[in-house]
Amino acid sequence: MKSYSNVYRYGLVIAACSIAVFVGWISGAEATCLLLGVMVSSLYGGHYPSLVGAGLSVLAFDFFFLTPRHHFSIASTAYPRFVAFIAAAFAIRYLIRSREEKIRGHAKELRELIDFIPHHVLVLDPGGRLLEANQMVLDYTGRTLDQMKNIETVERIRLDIHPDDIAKARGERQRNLSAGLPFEIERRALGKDGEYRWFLFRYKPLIGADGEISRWLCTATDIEELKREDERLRLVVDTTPAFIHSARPDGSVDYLNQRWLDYLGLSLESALDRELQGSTMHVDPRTWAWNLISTIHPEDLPLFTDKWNLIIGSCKPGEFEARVRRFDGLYRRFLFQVAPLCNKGGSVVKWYASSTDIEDRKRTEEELRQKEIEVANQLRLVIDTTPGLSWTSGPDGSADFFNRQWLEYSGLSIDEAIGWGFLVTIHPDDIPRMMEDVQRALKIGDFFESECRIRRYDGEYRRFLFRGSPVRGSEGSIVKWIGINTDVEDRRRMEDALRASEESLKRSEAYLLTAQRLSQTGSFGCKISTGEMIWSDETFRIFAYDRNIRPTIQHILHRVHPGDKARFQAYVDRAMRDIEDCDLEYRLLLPDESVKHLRLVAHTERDEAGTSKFLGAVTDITETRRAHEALRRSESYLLEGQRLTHTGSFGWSVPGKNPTYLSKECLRIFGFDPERGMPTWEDRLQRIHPADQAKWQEKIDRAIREKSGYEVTYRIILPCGILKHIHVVGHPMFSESGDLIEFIGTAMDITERWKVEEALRGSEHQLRLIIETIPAFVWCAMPGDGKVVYANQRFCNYTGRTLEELLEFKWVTLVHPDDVETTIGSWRHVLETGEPLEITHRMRRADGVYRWIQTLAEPLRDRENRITQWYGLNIEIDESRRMAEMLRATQARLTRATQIATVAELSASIAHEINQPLAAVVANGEACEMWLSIDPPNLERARLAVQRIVRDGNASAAVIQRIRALFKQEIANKAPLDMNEVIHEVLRLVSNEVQRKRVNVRMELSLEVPMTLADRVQMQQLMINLVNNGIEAMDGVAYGTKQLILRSRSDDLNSILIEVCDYGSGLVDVERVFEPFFTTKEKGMGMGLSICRSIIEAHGGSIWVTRNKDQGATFSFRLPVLAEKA
Amino acid sequence: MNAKDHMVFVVDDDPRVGEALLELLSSLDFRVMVFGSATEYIEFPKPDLPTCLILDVRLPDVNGLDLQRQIADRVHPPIVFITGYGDIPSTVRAMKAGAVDFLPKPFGREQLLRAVEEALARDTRSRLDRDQVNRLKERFSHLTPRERDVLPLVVAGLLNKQAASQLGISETTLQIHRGQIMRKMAANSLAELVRMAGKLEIAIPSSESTPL
Repeated sequence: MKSYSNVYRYGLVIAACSIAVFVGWISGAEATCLLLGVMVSSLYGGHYPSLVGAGLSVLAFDFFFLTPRHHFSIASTAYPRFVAFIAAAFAIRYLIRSREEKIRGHAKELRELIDFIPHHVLVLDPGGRLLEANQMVLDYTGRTLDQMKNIETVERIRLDIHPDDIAKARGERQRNLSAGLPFEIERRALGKDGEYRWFLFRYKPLIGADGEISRWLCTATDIEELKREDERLRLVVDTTPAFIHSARPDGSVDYLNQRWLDYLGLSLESALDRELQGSTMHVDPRTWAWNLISTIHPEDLPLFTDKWNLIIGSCKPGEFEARVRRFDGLYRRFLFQVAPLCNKGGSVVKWYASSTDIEDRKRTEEELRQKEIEVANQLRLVIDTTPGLSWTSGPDGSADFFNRQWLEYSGLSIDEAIGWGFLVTIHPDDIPRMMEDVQRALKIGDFFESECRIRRYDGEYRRFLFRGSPVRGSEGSIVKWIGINTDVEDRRRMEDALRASEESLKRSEAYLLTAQRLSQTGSFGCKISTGEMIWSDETFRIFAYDRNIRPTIQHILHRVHPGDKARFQAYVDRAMRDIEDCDLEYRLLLPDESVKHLRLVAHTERDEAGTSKFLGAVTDITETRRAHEALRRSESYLLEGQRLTHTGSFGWSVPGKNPTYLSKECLRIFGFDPERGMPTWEDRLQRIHPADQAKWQEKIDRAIREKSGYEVTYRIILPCGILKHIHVVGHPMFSESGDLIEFIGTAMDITERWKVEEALRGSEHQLRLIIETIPAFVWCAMPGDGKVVYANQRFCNYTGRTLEELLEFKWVTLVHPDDVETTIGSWRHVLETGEPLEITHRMRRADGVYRWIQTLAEPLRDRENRITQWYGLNIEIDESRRMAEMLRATQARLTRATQIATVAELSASIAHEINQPLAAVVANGEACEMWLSIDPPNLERARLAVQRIVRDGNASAAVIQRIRALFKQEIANKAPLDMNEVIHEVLRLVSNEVQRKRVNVRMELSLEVPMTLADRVQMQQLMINLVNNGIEAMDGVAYGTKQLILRSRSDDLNSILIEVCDYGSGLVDVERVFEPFFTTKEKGMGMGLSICRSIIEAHGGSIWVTRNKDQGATFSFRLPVLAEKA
Repeated sequence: MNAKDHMVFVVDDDPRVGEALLELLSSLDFRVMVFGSATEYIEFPKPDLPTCLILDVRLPDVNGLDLQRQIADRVHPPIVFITGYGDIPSTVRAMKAGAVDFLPKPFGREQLLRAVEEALARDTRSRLDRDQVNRLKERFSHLTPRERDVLPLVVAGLLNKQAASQLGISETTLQIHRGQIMRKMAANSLAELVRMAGKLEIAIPSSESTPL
């Protein structure tokens, strides 16, 4: 092979050189051709042939183409140098050759080393192409190195690798090679015996000096046996009925058994796939693959991750729970138990985890717990709804639970009640007793019962039965006390009531006995067939028997008075025989010889057995008998009483007017003889005084007609001529059908009373005396004609007339001639109308002087409101009248003085008003003069001054006119006037001003303002003044709030009140505003309000001002009402 | 009288009167300003000239007499009151408070002229006085603190020796101070200096209380 190659190569060189010479010969491009020949031989010949080629080419070139001058030749002098050159070249050549030899020796050694490694070793270039393979590889594959090198990598993998592993192996290999990091691949490789065996391929990059990967070293370890073992183990693991997985020391899962995979519904590959597929969820992919993580319940995931990491970090076994999703989406709870596998150094090599599905167990536990809670709740419900107050306490008796009823009842919270806190609810009086019971029960450890009062939430104490019973633990010691308190208040009350009723029964029995004793009535029962009897205590007493005997009917018979014995015997025999009720009275003869009257009443009764018996009572009626006697006696006393009081009683029947009863006294009063029997109606009628007969008859008739009682006083004349005053009162008596059948009544002899009345009449005289002496003139007159029927002595004395003269209408002559007409007129008027009289007039005194008298008279009316009498009183009022006159005169003087003062004030103000323009006139005049006197005269200014003089002169004239106008009205033209009308007029006059100043005018005018007597113009002036005043007062006030209120109303019966109320700046001095020249206004004279006051006072009214509460002032004035025409 | 060297203020609420007075006083060659109310007058900046104030008693805002009282404690022109309603109490009050005259309306030219001239003359005098005092104050302000100590003692009539011992300085020093004072105050004699001190209202210690 090699020799062939050498011959070929040398031959090629020679051929190439020959061709080059030939071509160069032909073409003339010798150098180029020879160069090409050298290149071809160098390219295809290798070292030596190329050298030969170059030498041949040089020789050929030299021989054929170079001129002899240019032939290569070596000067003789240069031979040594040439030789040295050649030697040096060979020396270098040798050195290089020996070096190469050495390297080749190393390579061979390496090769042998590789071959010696008991592993399959492959060397790959960075692209993954096979460069070297050791002997084992060659042996295993049964190929030579060259064969292996010559096969394409892809093809080689296809041939050598198990078809199942190709896809994975190819992908992983390619990916990892490009990544440039060491990696491992497990795959099956085909051996020369045609069997696949498992190999672990470990790839490791060799880094060159330039930092790039220069080679890949790959070792393949035969793991077939290991695999097989693993498979077996896996089979075991997969078939184990447990969920098992393993993880690398860093915690990343590397294996899940089949059971796990079946549960999860994943293949091992997909389970361990670490790629996060389209999720942004953060999972530490180092520990768990995404697909596994996503099977953990999201709620458990944080806990799960923490636990797992904790265990991994601690290198100790551990366990935790988490819910894991089944293939069908159901989550089930798992208990993960993790244990590490450690090497000898103690570091973890592997984690093994076995998980158990505890879902069912959990659920069962949950159900159990639920059931327990339910039972507990039910129990609580039972306890809370039990209609009793229940509690539990510790072994020492301190409470630790109270049911809701207890807490609701006591109103305490559980915290307040537990321990011994509940004691506050126990009635303080009951605590010692209860504590004693409790202590005793605690000591002996047995059921106990106590009663105590427990306070309800509202403070009421109710009695409770306190029952406690111990609960014993398994070893027999008391662990708890359970108790219930039952409200026995109502029961106790009932018991108390029962006890009380028993007592009352007992008491009532005692009462009965007492009653029997007091009423002296004994009761008895008697069995007729046997004659056996039962007696009450009183019965024994009545019959005077000892209580120890057994009473029989014989005992009764024995005591019967001998006088009544036969009657009693007969009566009793009959009653016993006929069995009928009996009622009889008889006498007893007692052993002490005393006699008792007895009444025996018995009632027969038949019981179910058909035996009859008597139930009866015996009453000692001795006393009653005695009382009867007394009654009879008292009747005679009554008769005596009637006689003494001269009061007789009677009765007479209406139909025949016959007396039914006339008491003895009655007969006596009327002077009838009792022995002669009842007198007839006519007899009695004859006795009546003839003058009273009609009255009497009328009364009686009316009483009968109206079926009413009657009362009449009349006189009777007895045959002996004695006159008696009788007062009779009769009451009607009616039959059951309502008919009047009888009158009963009393007739009283009131002759004595009559006499007393006479005496009374005497005292009237006394009264008259008093009237005579009072210091006034008293008189009486008859209604109708007004005839004076009485005048007291004082009147007569004053006038100097006798009473008779006065009574004969002579009083008229006493009245002052000027007053006669009005006085008589008034008197007639009151006589007609019945009104009280009140007049003043002058009356002549006895000395002929007329003095002022006030006469008052009032009528006296009877029940029918008819005037029966006029009573009059005259009082001399001359003095007071004179005083009033004087007062009036003084007032008039005062008014005049005021007027004078006002005039003075006015004149002062007029002076000011006029002086003002006058000053201007004078000054202007002087100025004018000055302007004219200078040289040359300033005519322009002089004219101006003159114009002003004229203007101001006119102004003063206007002032004077105004003032004259003011005073003209002094002569008031008073006429009936409606002030409301005036107010309306004034508002019309000032409407311009009101609008200009935007004042809101409100009128509160009463419709019932009476007329007043006043001067219309002055009233207008007054109102204008006040209204303007109000408007001006509000100048400084903001628009919108300017409000002027005008009010009018009837103040009282005699005056009307007008008010002008503004909301202006108000007043500083309410006292001085009406004074002349007092002003707060810029242009005011201070006269306006002063004039107002003058006007009002001239009309008899008054004016004043008040500050408003909030703002402004109110001017008010009062005017008298126009008097009604008399 | 020259129209430039004085001023007459008229305060009257009645424009007719104001006008007339303006006219009259103008014709008499016075410079006149008329105001309708006290407020207007008070708010007007006053020129530094001899002035006279013609004041109506009754004014819309402040009564003339009240205005007089209000400005009493300030430098103000002499007042001539005019009134349309001259009552004696007001007159007395006004005159007591230093009014020049009290003219009842209407008043004649001569009356007014006399009053105005009197007022202006009075104001001129008081202005001169004020100027003099101001000049003295100006001079006084040039004195050193020590000289100001010395001045009252000298003015009080103390001998140089006494004054020197009181201040604890030598007589010679005091004499120097004294000379300086006389020179600075431009006083020709001690008497003049005393008058100056009086006008300046310098407190002069009584010589009796001097501890000697």
